[in-house]
Amino acid sequence: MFSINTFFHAFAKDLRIGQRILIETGGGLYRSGWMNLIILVTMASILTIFGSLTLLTLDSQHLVENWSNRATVSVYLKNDASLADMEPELRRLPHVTKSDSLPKSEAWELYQSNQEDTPEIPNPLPDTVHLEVDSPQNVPMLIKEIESMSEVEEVRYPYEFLKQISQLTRGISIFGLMFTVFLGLLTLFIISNTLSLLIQARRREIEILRMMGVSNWYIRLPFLIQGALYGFVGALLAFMPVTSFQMFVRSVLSFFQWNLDGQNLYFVAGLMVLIGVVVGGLGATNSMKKYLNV
Amino acid sequence: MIEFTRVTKRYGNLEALKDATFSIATGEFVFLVGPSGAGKSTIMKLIYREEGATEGTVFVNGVDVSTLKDKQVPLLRRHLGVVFQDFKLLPGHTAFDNVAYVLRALGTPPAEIRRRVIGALKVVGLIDKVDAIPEELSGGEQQRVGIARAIVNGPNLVVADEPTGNLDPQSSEEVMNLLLQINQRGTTVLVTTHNLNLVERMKKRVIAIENAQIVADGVYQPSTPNT
Repeated sequence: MFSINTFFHAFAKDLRIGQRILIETGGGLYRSGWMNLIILVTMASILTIFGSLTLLTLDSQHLVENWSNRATVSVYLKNDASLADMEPELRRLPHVTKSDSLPKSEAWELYQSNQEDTPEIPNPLPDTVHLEVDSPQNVPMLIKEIESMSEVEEVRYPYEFLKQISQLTRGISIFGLMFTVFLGLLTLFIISNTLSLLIQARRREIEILRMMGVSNWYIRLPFLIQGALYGFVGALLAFMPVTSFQMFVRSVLSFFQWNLDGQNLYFVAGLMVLIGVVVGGLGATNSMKKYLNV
Repeated sequence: MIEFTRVTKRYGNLEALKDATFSIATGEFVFLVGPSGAGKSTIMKLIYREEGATEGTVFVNGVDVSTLKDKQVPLLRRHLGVVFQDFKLLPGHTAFDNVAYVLRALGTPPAEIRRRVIGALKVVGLIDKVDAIPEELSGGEQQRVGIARAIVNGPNLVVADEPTGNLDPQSSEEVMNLLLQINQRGTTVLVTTHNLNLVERMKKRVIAIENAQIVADGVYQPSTPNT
Protein backbone atom coordinates (compact mmCIF):
# COMPACT_ATOMS: atom_id res chain seq x y z
CA MET A 1 0.00 0.00 0.00
CA PHE A 2 1.21 3.48 -0.80
CA SER A 3 2.37 5.39 2.24
CA ILE A 4 4.33 8.55 3.02
CA ASN A 5 7.22 6.31 3.98
CA THR A 6 7.25 4.65 0.55
CA PHE A 7 7.07 8.05 -1.09
CA PHE A 8 9.92 9.36 1.06
CA HIS A 9 12.13 6.37 0.24
CA ALA A 10 11.41 6.63 -3.48
CA PHE A 11 12.10 10.37 -3.39
CA ALA A 12 15.34 9.90 -1.44
CA LYS A 13 16.42 7.25 -3.95
CA ASP A 14 15.67 9.55 -6.92
CA LEU A 15 17.59 12.30 -5.15
CA ARG A 16 20.62 10.04 -4.74
CA ILE A 17 20.43 9.01 -8.41
CA GLY A 18 20.12 12.70 -9.39
CA GLN A 19 23.15 13.50 -7.29
CA ARG A 20 25.15 10.71 -8.98
CA ILE A 21 24.09 11.97 -12.41
CA LEU A 22 25.36 15.44 -11.51
CA ILE A 23 28.63 13.96 -10.25
CA GLU A 24 29.01 12.06 -13.54
CA THR A 25 28.25 15.30 -15.43
CA GLY A 26 30.90 17.14 -13.40
CA GLY A 27 33.37 14.36 -14.17
CA GLY A 28 32.54 14.69 -17.87
CA LEU A 29 33.15 18.44 -17.80
CA TYR A 30 36.44 17.92 -15.97
CA ARG A 31 37.57 15.35 -18.52
CA SER A 32 36.61 17.60 -21.45
CA GLY A 33 39.26 20.10 -20.26
CA TRP A 34 40.06 22.92 -22.63
CA MET A 35 37.42 21.73 -25.10
CA ASN A 36 34.88 23.30 -22.70
CA LEU A 37 36.41 26.71 -23.43
CA ILE A 38 36.36 26.23 -27.20
CA ILE A 39 32.74 25.11 -27.13
CA LEU A 40 31.65 27.97 -24.86
CA VAL A 41 33.40 30.58 -27.01
CA THR A 42 31.82 29.28 -30.24
CA MET A 43 28.44 28.88 -28.56
CA ALA A 44 28.57 32.41 -27.09
CA SER A 45 29.65 33.78 -30.47
CA ILE A 46 26.78 32.29 -32.42
CA LEU A 47 24.30 33.34 -29.76
CA THR A 48 25.72 36.88 -29.75
CA ILE A 49 25.31 37.13 -33.52
CA PHE A 50 21.89 35.54 -33.38
CA GLY A 51 20.71 37.67 -30.45
CA SER A 52 22.00 40.95 -31.90
CA LEU A 53 20.47 40.36 -35.32
CA THR A 54 17.15 39.28 -33.88
CA LEU A 55 17.06 42.37 -31.69
CA LEU A 56 17.94 44.59 -34.65
CA THR A 57 15.12 43.08 -36.70
CA LEU A 58 12.61 43.31 -33.86
CA ASP A 59 13.58 46.88 -32.97
CA SER A 60 13.34 48.10 -36.54
CA GLN A 61 9.96 46.39 -36.98
CA HIS A 62 8.81 47.87 -33.70
CA LEU A 63 9.90 51.29 -34.88
CA VAL A 64 8.03 50.95 -38.16
CA GLU A 65 4.91 49.83 -36.31
CA ASN A 66 5.18 52.80 -33.98
CA TRP A 67 5.39 55.18 -36.90
CA SER A 68 2.78 53.54 -39.04
CA ASN A 69 0.07 55.15 -36.92
CA ARG A 70 1.71 58.53 -36.99
CA ALA A 71 1.23 60.01 -40.42
CA THR A 72 3.55 63.00 -40.05
CA VAL A 73 5.01 64.69 -43.11
CA SER A 74 7.84 67.23 -43.03
CA VAL A 75 7.81 69.91 -45.71
CA TYR A 76 11.05 71.85 -46.36
CA LEU A 77 10.54 75.22 -48.08
CA LYS A 78 12.72 76.91 -50.64
CA ASN A 79 14.91 79.79 -49.46
CA ASP A 80 12.78 82.47 -51.07
CA ALA A 81 9.43 81.07 -49.88
CA SER A 82 7.54 82.71 -47.06
CA LEU A 83 6.79 80.50 -44.07
CA ALA A 84 4.00 82.80 -42.94
CA ASP A 85 2.21 82.36 -46.29
CA MET A 86 2.94 78.70 -46.78
CA GLU A 87 1.91 77.30 -43.40
CA PRO A 88 -1.78 78.31 -43.69
CA GLU A 89 -1.81 77.15 -47.30
CA LEU A 90 -0.45 73.74 -46.36
CA ARG A 91 -2.77 73.58 -43.36
CA ARG A 92 -5.78 74.03 -45.67
CA LEU A 93 -4.88 71.03 -47.83
CA PRO A 94 -7.32 68.10 -47.62
CA HIS A 95 -6.62 65.45 -44.91
CA VAL A 96 -4.21 67.70 -42.97
CA THR A 97 -5.34 67.82 -39.35
CA LYS A 98 -2.59 69.85 -37.76
CA SER A 99 0.42 71.92 -38.71
CA ASP A 100 3.49 73.07 -36.85
CA SER A 101 6.14 75.35 -38.28
CA LEU A 102 9.83 75.54 -37.48
CA PRO A 103 11.48 78.70 -38.88
CA LYS A 104 14.98 78.22 -40.17
CA SER A 105 16.39 80.66 -37.62
CA GLU A 106 14.99 78.55 -34.76
CA ALA A 107 16.22 75.34 -36.37
CA TRP A 108 19.72 76.83 -36.71
CA GLU A 109 19.73 77.96 -33.08
CA LEU A 110 18.65 74.50 -32.04
CA TYR A 111 21.38 72.94 -34.13
CA GLN A 112 24.02 75.32 -32.77
CA SER A 113 22.99 74.68 -29.18
CA ASN A 114 23.50 70.93 -29.76
CA GLN A 115 26.93 71.34 -31.37
CA GLU A 116 30.10 72.48 -29.66
CA ASP A 117 31.85 74.06 -32.61
CA THR A 118 29.69 75.41 -35.37
CA PRO A 119 31.48 77.12 -38.24
CA GLU A 120 30.78 80.77 -38.98
CA ILE A 121 28.66 80.20 -42.06
CA PRO A 122 25.25 81.49 -43.17
CA ASN A 123 22.28 79.44 -41.95
CA PRO A 124 21.97 76.51 -44.40
CA LEU A 125 18.74 75.12 -42.96
CA PRO A 126 15.32 75.61 -44.62
CA ASP A 127 12.03 76.69 -43.06
CA THR A 128 10.07 73.57 -42.15
CA VAL A 129 6.36 72.80 -41.74
CA HIS A 130 5.38 69.53 -40.00
CA LEU A 131 1.94 68.33 -41.06
CA GLU A 132 -0.17 65.69 -39.39
CA VAL A 133 -2.38 63.73 -41.78
CA ASP A 134 -5.64 62.00 -40.81
CA SER A 135 -4.52 58.59 -42.13
CA PRO A 136 -1.26 57.07 -43.52
CA GLN A 137 -3.26 56.00 -46.62
CA ASN A 138 -3.75 59.63 -47.64
CA VAL A 139 -0.06 60.50 -47.31
CA PRO A 140 1.18 59.53 -50.83
CA MET A 141 -1.53 61.61 -52.53
CA LEU A 142 -0.80 64.56 -50.25
CA ILE A 143 2.96 64.32 -50.87
CA LYS A 144 2.33 64.47 -54.61
CA GLU A 145 0.24 67.60 -54.23
CA ILE A 146 2.78 69.32 -51.98
CA GLU A 147 5.71 68.39 -54.23
CA SER A 148 3.98 70.15 -57.13
CA MET A 149 4.13 73.48 -55.25
CA SER A 150 6.90 75.74 -56.51
CA GLU A 151 7.79 77.01 -53.02
CA VAL A 152 8.55 73.52 -51.74
CA GLU A 153 12.13 72.16 -51.80
CA GLU A 154 11.50 68.68 -50.43
CA VAL A 155 8.88 66.56 -48.66
CA ARG A 156 9.93 63.88 -46.21
CA TYR A 157 7.85 61.12 -44.78
CA PRO A 158 9.77 59.34 -41.94
CA TYR A 159 7.59 56.24 -42.14
CA GLU A 160 8.78 55.51 -45.71
CA PHE A 161 12.36 56.02 -44.63
CA LEU A 162 11.91 53.71 -41.64
CA LYS A 163 10.29 51.10 -43.86
CA GLN A 164 13.35 51.14 -46.08
CA ILE A 165 15.64 50.85 -43.04
CA SER A 166 13.54 47.97 -41.79
CA GLN A 167 13.82 46.18 -45.15
CA LEU A 168 17.57 46.70 -45.06
CA THR A 169 17.91 45.32 -41.53
CA ARG A 170 15.71 42.40 -42.48
CA GLY A 171 18.01 41.64 -45.40
CA ILE A 172 21.08 41.85 -43.18
CA SER A 173 19.37 39.68 -40.60
CA ILE A 174 18.41 36.95 -43.07
CA PHE A 175 22.01 36.77 -44.27
CA GLY A 176 23.23 36.90 -40.67
CA LEU A 177 20.84 34.20 -39.53
CA MET A 178 22.00 31.95 -42.36
CA PHE A 179 25.53 32.50 -41.12
CA THR A 180 24.33 31.72 -37.58
CA VAL A 181 22.79 28.45 -38.79
CA PHE A 182 26.14 27.51 -40.33
CA LEU A 183 27.99 28.38 -37.10
CA GLY A 184 25.31 26.56 -35.13
CA LEU A 185 25.96 23.39 -37.12
CA LEU A 186 29.67 23.83 -36.52
CA THR A 187 29.08 24.16 -32.77
CA LEU A 188 26.82 21.11 -32.84
CA PHE A 189 29.61 19.20 -34.58
CA ILE A 190 32.22 20.27 -32.00
CA ILE A 191 29.94 19.34 -29.09
CA SER A 192 29.09 16.02 -30.71
CA ASN A 193 32.78 15.20 -31.25
CA THR A 194 33.79 16.20 -27.72
CA LEU A 195 31.06 14.08 -26.18
CA SER A 196 31.86 11.19 -28.52
CA LEU A 197 35.43 11.19 -27.21
CA LEU A 198 34.06 11.30 -23.69
CA ILE A 199 31.74 8.35 -24.36
CA GLN A 200 34.66 6.37 -25.75
CA ALA A 201 36.77 7.22 -22.69
CA ARG A 202 33.91 6.02 -20.45
CA ARG A 203 33.22 2.92 -22.53
CA ARG A 204 34.12 0.49 -19.75
CA GLU A 205 32.00 2.26 -17.13
CA ILE A 206 29.06 2.41 -19.52
CA GLU A 207 29.36 -1.29 -20.33
CA ILE A 208 29.41 -2.18 -16.62
CA LEU A 209 26.40 0.05 -15.92
CA ARG A 210 24.47 -1.49 -18.82
CA MET A 211 25.28 -5.06 -17.82
CA MET A 212 24.26 -4.47 -14.21
CA GLY A 213 20.86 -3.11 -15.16
CA VAL A 214 21.33 0.63 -14.69
CA SER A 215 18.70 2.50 -16.68
CA ASN A 216 19.60 3.99 -20.05
CA TRP A 217 18.62 7.43 -18.80
CA TYR A 218 21.21 7.31 -16.05
CA ILE A 219 23.83 6.60 -18.71
CA ARG A 220 22.58 9.20 -21.18
CA LEU A 221 21.64 12.11 -18.93
CA PRO A 222 25.16 13.26 -17.96
CA PHE A 223 26.01 13.72 -21.64
CA LEU A 224 22.71 15.43 -22.36
CA ILE A 225 23.10 17.76 -19.37
CA GLN A 226 26.66 18.58 -20.39
CA GLY A 227 25.51 19.49 -23.91
CA ALA A 228 22.59 21.57 -22.64
CA LEU A 229 24.87 23.26 -20.10
CA TYR A 230 27.14 24.46 -22.91
CA GLY A 231 24.10 26.09 -24.48
CA PHE A 232 22.89 27.66 -21.24
CA VAL A 233 26.26 29.07 -20.18
CA GLY A 234 26.95 30.15 -23.77
CA ALA A 235 23.67 32.11 -23.72
CA LEU A 236 24.58 33.75 -20.39
CA LEU A 237 27.97 34.75 -21.79
CA ALA A 238 26.35 36.13 -24.95
CA PHE A 239 23.83 38.17 -22.95
CA MET A 240 26.32 40.93 -22.12
CA PRO A 241 27.48 41.75 -25.67
CA VAL A 242 23.88 41.50 -26.91
CA THR A 243 22.72 43.97 -24.23
CA SER A 244 25.56 46.35 -25.16
CA PHE A 245 24.59 46.06 -28.82
CA GLN A 246 20.99 46.94 -28.06
CA MET A 247 22.04 49.89 -25.93
CA PHE A 248 24.17 51.12 -28.83
CA VAL A 249 21.31 50.72 -31.35
CA ARG A 250 18.86 52.49 -29.07
CA SER A 251 21.29 55.35 -28.42
CA VAL A 252 21.58 55.81 -32.18
CA LEU A 253 17.80 55.74 -32.53
CA SER A 254 17.29 58.17 -29.68
CA PHE A 255 19.65 60.61 -31.42
CA PHE A 256 17.00 60.70 -34.16
CA GLN A 257 14.29 61.09 -31.52
CA TRP A 258 13.11 57.53 -32.14
CA ASN A 259 12.65 56.01 -28.74
CA LEU A 260 11.78 52.39 -28.05
CA ASP A 261 10.75 50.93 -24.75
CA GLY A 262 9.86 47.37 -25.82
CA GLN A 263 10.73 44.24 -23.88
CA ASN A 264 12.50 42.69 -26.89
CA LEU A 265 15.68 42.06 -24.91
CA TYR A 266 14.02 39.62 -22.50
CA PHE A 267 12.29 37.81 -25.33
CA VAL A 268 15.56 37.49 -27.25
CA ALA A 269 17.45 36.40 -24.09
CA GLY A 270 14.91 33.62 -23.60
CA LEU A 271 15.24 32.64 -27.25
CA MET A 272 19.04 32.55 -26.93
CA VAL A 273 18.86 30.21 -23.93
CA LEU A 274 16.38 28.00 -25.76
CA ILE A 275 18.47 27.81 -28.93
CA GLY A 276 21.69 27.25 -26.98
CA VAL A 277 20.16 24.41 -24.99
CA VAL A 278 18.63 22.85 -28.12
CA VAL A 279 21.93 23.03 -30.07
CA GLY A 280 23.84 21.59 -27.09
CA GLY A 281 21.25 18.89 -26.54
CA LEU A 282 21.24 17.96 -30.24
CA GLY A 283 25.04 17.71 -30.21
CA ALA A 284 24.82 15.34 -27.25
CA THR A 285 22.03 13.30 -28.85
CA ASN A 286 24.04 12.98 -32.03
CA SER A 287 27.09 11.62 -30.19
CA MET A 288 24.91 9.21 -28.20
CA LYS A 289 23.25 7.94 -31.36
CA LYS A 290 26.63 7.22 -32.88
CA TYR A 291 28.50 5.77 -29.93
CA LEU A 292 26.04 4.89 -27.19
CA ASN A 293 24.08 1.92 -28.32
CA VAL A 294 21.90 1.54 -25.22
CA MET B 1 15.62 -20.43 -14.51
CA ILE B 2 16.84 -20.48 -18.13
CA GLU B 3 14.93 -22.12 -20.94
CA PHE B 4 15.95 -22.09 -24.61
CA THR B 5 13.38 -23.55 -27.01
CA ARG B 6 14.45 -24.08 -30.63
CA VAL B 7 16.51 -20.90 -30.59
CA THR B 8 18.25 -19.76 -33.75
CA LYS B 9 20.33 -16.61 -34.05
CA ARG B 10 21.43 -15.32 -37.43
CA TYR B 11 23.66 -12.36 -38.27
CA GLY B 12 22.80 -11.83 -41.93
CA ASN B 13 23.58 -15.15 -43.59
CA LEU B 14 25.76 -16.34 -40.71
CA GLU B 15 24.13 -18.75 -38.27
CA ALA B 16 25.62 -18.15 -34.82
CA LEU B 17 23.22 -20.54 -33.06
CA LYS B 18 21.07 -23.18 -34.64
CA ASP B 19 17.92 -24.72 -33.18
CA ALA B 20 19.23 -24.79 -29.58
CA THR B 21 17.00 -26.30 -26.92
CA PHE B 22 18.06 -26.71 -23.28
CA SER B 23 17.01 -25.64 -19.83
CA ILE B 24 18.89 -24.81 -16.64
CA ALA B 25 17.08 -25.23 -13.32
CA THR B 26 17.34 -22.84 -10.37
CA GLY B 27 20.43 -23.57 -8.29
CA GLU B 28 22.30 -25.48 -11.02
CA PHE B 29 25.96 -25.00 -11.91
CA VAL B 30 26.49 -25.42 -15.64
CA PHE B 31 29.51 -25.16 -17.91
CA LEU B 32 29.14 -24.08 -21.50
CA VAL B 33 32.11 -25.38 -23.47
CA GLY B 34 33.16 -25.31 -27.10
CA PRO B 35 35.77 -23.88 -29.46
CA SER B 36 36.01 -20.16 -30.22
CA GLY B 37 33.21 -18.98 -32.49
CA ALA B 38 31.07 -22.03 -31.70
CA GLY B 39 28.21 -19.94 -30.28
CA LYS B 40 28.94 -19.75 -26.52
CA SER B 41 28.99 -15.96 -26.42
CA THR B 42 25.81 -15.85 -28.50
CA ILE B 43 24.03 -17.92 -25.84
CA MET B 44 25.31 -15.56 -23.13
CA LYS B 45 24.21 -12.49 -25.11
CA LEU B 46 20.76 -14.00 -25.62
CA ILE B 47 20.46 -14.60 -21.86
CA TYR B 48 21.28 -11.04 -20.82
CA ARG B 49 19.43 -9.71 -23.86
CA GLU B 50 22.34 -8.06 -25.55
CA GLU B 51 20.92 -9.77 -28.63
CA GLY B 52 17.45 -11.00 -29.52
CA ALA B 53 16.74 -14.47 -30.93
CA THR B 54 15.94 -14.72 -34.65
CA GLU B 55 13.71 -17.73 -34.00
CA GLY B 56 12.53 -19.53 -30.88
CA THR B 57 12.03 -18.38 -27.30
CA VAL B 58 14.44 -17.59 -24.48
CA PHE B 59 13.02 -17.57 -20.94
CA VAL B 60 15.09 -16.16 -18.08
CA ASN B 61 13.58 -15.96 -14.59
CA GLY B 62 10.23 -16.82 -16.13
CA VAL B 63 10.32 -13.90 -18.58
CA ASP B 64 10.47 -14.31 -22.35
CA VAL B 65 13.47 -12.09 -22.96
CA SER B 66 13.26 -12.46 -26.74
CA THR B 67 10.11 -10.30 -26.70
CA LEU B 68 11.31 -7.96 -23.95
CA LYS B 69 11.09 -4.25 -24.75
CA ASP B 70 14.36 -2.30 -24.61
CA LYS B 71 13.06 -0.33 -21.63
CA GLN B 72 12.57 -3.52 -19.62
CA VAL B 73 16.07 -4.89 -20.26
CA PRO B 74 17.68 -3.07 -17.27
CA LEU B 75 15.08 -4.68 -14.97
CA LEU B 76 16.07 -8.14 -16.25
CA ARG B 77 19.75 -7.41 -15.78
CA ARG B 78 19.31 -6.29 -12.17
CA HIS B 79 18.63 -9.93 -11.33
CA LEU B 80 21.71 -11.13 -13.19
CA GLY B 81 25.37 -10.91 -12.29
CA VAL B 82 27.84 -10.81 -15.16
CA VAL B 83 31.51 -11.76 -14.84
CA PHE B 84 33.84 -10.80 -17.71
CA GLN B 85 37.00 -12.43 -18.99
CA ASP B 86 38.91 -9.12 -18.88
CA PHE B 87 37.47 -8.21 -15.43
CA LYS B 88 36.33 -4.75 -16.63
CA LEU B 89 37.40 -2.97 -13.46
CA LEU B 90 37.66 0.80 -13.37
CA PRO B 91 41.35 1.71 -13.21
CA GLY B 92 42.34 4.01 -10.36
CA HIS B 93 39.20 3.12 -8.36
CA THR B 94 39.54 1.04 -5.19
CA ALA B 95 38.09 -2.46 -4.93
CA PHE B 96 35.35 -0.96 -2.75
CA ASP B 97 34.49 1.71 -5.33
CA ASN B 98 34.52 -0.80 -8.18
CA VAL B 99 31.99 -2.99 -6.39
CA ALA B 100 29.96 -0.01 -5.15
CA TYR B 101 29.89 1.72 -8.55
CA VAL B 102 26.67 0.18 -9.83
CA LEU B 103 24.91 0.31 -6.44
CA ARG B 104 25.50 4.07 -6.35
CA ALA B 105 24.05 4.40 -9.84
CA LEU B 106 20.97 2.50 -8.69
CA GLY B 107 20.42 4.95 -5.83
CA THR B 108 21.19 2.54 -2.99
CA PRO B 109 21.56 4.31 0.40
CA PRO B 110 25.24 4.74 1.49
CA ALA B 111 24.92 2.59 4.63
CA GLU B 112 23.34 -0.20 2.56
CA ILE B 113 26.12 0.13 -0.04
CA ARG B 114 28.77 -0.25 2.65
CA ARG B 115 27.06 -3.29 4.13
CA ARG B 116 26.61 -5.02 0.78
CA VAL B 117 30.06 -4.21 -0.64
CA ILE B 118 31.85 -5.36 2.49
CA GLY B 119 29.70 -8.51 2.46
CA ALA B 120 30.54 -9.25 -1.21
CA LEU B 121 34.26 -8.59 -0.68
CA LYS B 122 34.16 -10.98 2.32
CA VAL B 123 32.60 -13.68 0.15
CA VAL B 124 35.41 -13.37 -2.41
CA GLY B 125 38.07 -13.20 0.33
CA LEU B 126 39.29 -9.69 -0.37
CA ILE B 127 38.22 -7.88 2.76
CA ASP B 128 41.85 -6.90 3.39
CA LYS B 129 42.09 -5.34 -0.10
CA VAL B 130 39.13 -2.97 0.18
CA ASP B 131 41.28 0.10 -0.57
CA ALA B 132 43.51 -1.49 -3.20
CA ILE B 133 43.21 -0.26 -6.77
CA PRO B 134 43.19 -2.82 -9.65
CA GLU B 135 46.78 -1.94 -10.56
CA GLU B 136 47.85 -3.20 -7.11
CA LEU B 137 45.97 -6.51 -7.41
CA SER B 138 46.94 -9.81 -9.10
CA GLY B 139 44.86 -11.11 -12.01
CA GLY B 140 43.07 -13.57 -9.75
CA GLU B 141 42.31 -10.85 -7.23
CA GLN B 142 41.02 -8.56 -9.94
CA GLN B 143 38.67 -11.28 -11.14
CA ARG B 144 37.49 -11.79 -7.56
CA VAL B 145 36.63 -8.09 -7.40
CA GLY B 146 34.71 -8.64 -10.66
CA ILE B 147 32.81 -11.51 -9.03
CA ALA B 148 32.10 -9.41 -5.93
CA ARG B 149 30.63 -6.76 -8.24
CA ALA B 150 28.50 -9.41 -9.99
CA ILE B 151 27.00 -10.71 -6.72
CA VAL B 152 26.68 -7.46 -4.79
CA ASN B 153 23.16 -6.90 -6.05
CA GLY B 154 22.06 -10.34 -4.84
CA PRO B 155 21.34 -11.85 -8.28
CA ASN B 156 19.70 -15.25 -8.63
CA LEU B 157 21.75 -15.99 -11.76
CA VAL B 158 25.46 -15.37 -12.39
CA VAL B 159 26.79 -15.69 -15.93
CA ALA B 160 30.55 -15.77 -16.33
CA ASP B 161 32.06 -15.48 -19.81
CA GLU B 162 35.50 -17.15 -19.78
CA PRO B 163 36.21 -15.95 -16.22
CA THR B 164 39.53 -17.81 -16.08
CA GLY B 165 40.63 -16.97 -19.62
CA ASN B 166 43.26 -14.46 -18.46
CA LEU B 167 44.38 -16.29 -15.30
CA ASP B 168 47.13 -18.71 -14.28
CA PRO B 169 46.08 -22.25 -13.23
CA GLN B 170 46.11 -21.54 -9.50
CA SER B 171 44.05 -18.37 -9.81
CA SER B 172 41.69 -20.18 -12.20
CA GLU B 173 41.10 -22.87 -9.62
CA GLU B 174 40.43 -20.24 -6.93
CA VAL B 175 37.97 -18.40 -9.14
CA MET B 176 36.11 -21.62 -10.05
CA ASN B 177 35.92 -22.60 -6.39
CA LEU B 178 34.54 -19.18 -5.61
CA LEU B 179 31.84 -19.55 -8.27
CA LEU B 180 31.03 -22.98 -6.85
CA GLN B 181 30.76 -21.47 -3.38
CA ILE B 182 28.36 -18.82 -4.73
CA ASN B 183 26.35 -21.60 -6.37
CA GLN B 184 26.16 -23.46 -3.08
CA ARG B 185 24.44 -20.42 -1.56
CA GLY B 186 21.60 -21.00 -4.02
CA THR B 187 22.62 -18.85 -6.99
CA THR B 188 22.38 -20.41 -10.45
CA VAL B 189 25.76 -20.19 -12.20
CA LEU B 190 26.51 -20.51 -15.92
CA VAL B 191 30.18 -20.46 -16.94
CA THR B 192 31.73 -20.57 -20.40
CA THR B 193 35.27 -21.89 -20.49
CA HIS B 194 38.03 -23.49 -22.53
CA ASN B 195 39.66 -24.97 -19.46
CA LEU B 196 38.64 -28.62 -19.64
CA ASN B 197 40.88 -29.64 -16.72
CA LEU B 198 38.81 -27.46 -14.44
CA VAL B 199 35.56 -28.70 -15.97
CA GLU B 200 36.62 -32.29 -15.40
CA ARG B 201 37.55 -31.68 -11.77
CA MET B 202 34.31 -29.89 -10.94
CA LYS B 203 32.07 -32.77 -12.06
CA LYS B 204 29.21 -30.48 -13.01
CA ARG B 205 26.78 -30.42 -15.89
CA VAL B 206 28.35 -29.44 -19.21
CA ILE B 207 26.62 -28.17 -22.36
CA ALA B 208 28.93 -28.57 -25.33
CA ILE B 209 28.46 -26.47 -28.43
CA GLU B 210 30.12 -26.80 -31.78
CA ASN B 211 29.42 -25.13 -35.13
CA ALA B 212 26.46 -23.25 -33.63
CA GLN B 213 24.78 -26.46 -32.46
CA ILE B 214 24.50 -28.14 -29.09
CA VAL B 215 26.35 -31.44 -29.42
CA ALA B 216 26.38 -32.75 -25.86
CA ASP B 217 24.62 -32.11 -22.54
CA GLY B 218 25.52 -33.96 -19.33
CA VAL B 219 28.24 -34.42 -16.74
CA TYR B 220 31.65 -34.09 -18.41
CA GLN B 221 33.50 -37.28 -19.28
CA PRO B 222 37.10 -37.11 -20.53
CA SER B 223 36.05 -39.28 -23.48
CA THR B 224 33.39 -36.79 -24.62
CA PRO B 225 34.56 -35.82 -28.10
CA ASN B 226 35.49 -32.24 -28.94
CA THR B 227 34.68 -30.79 -25.55
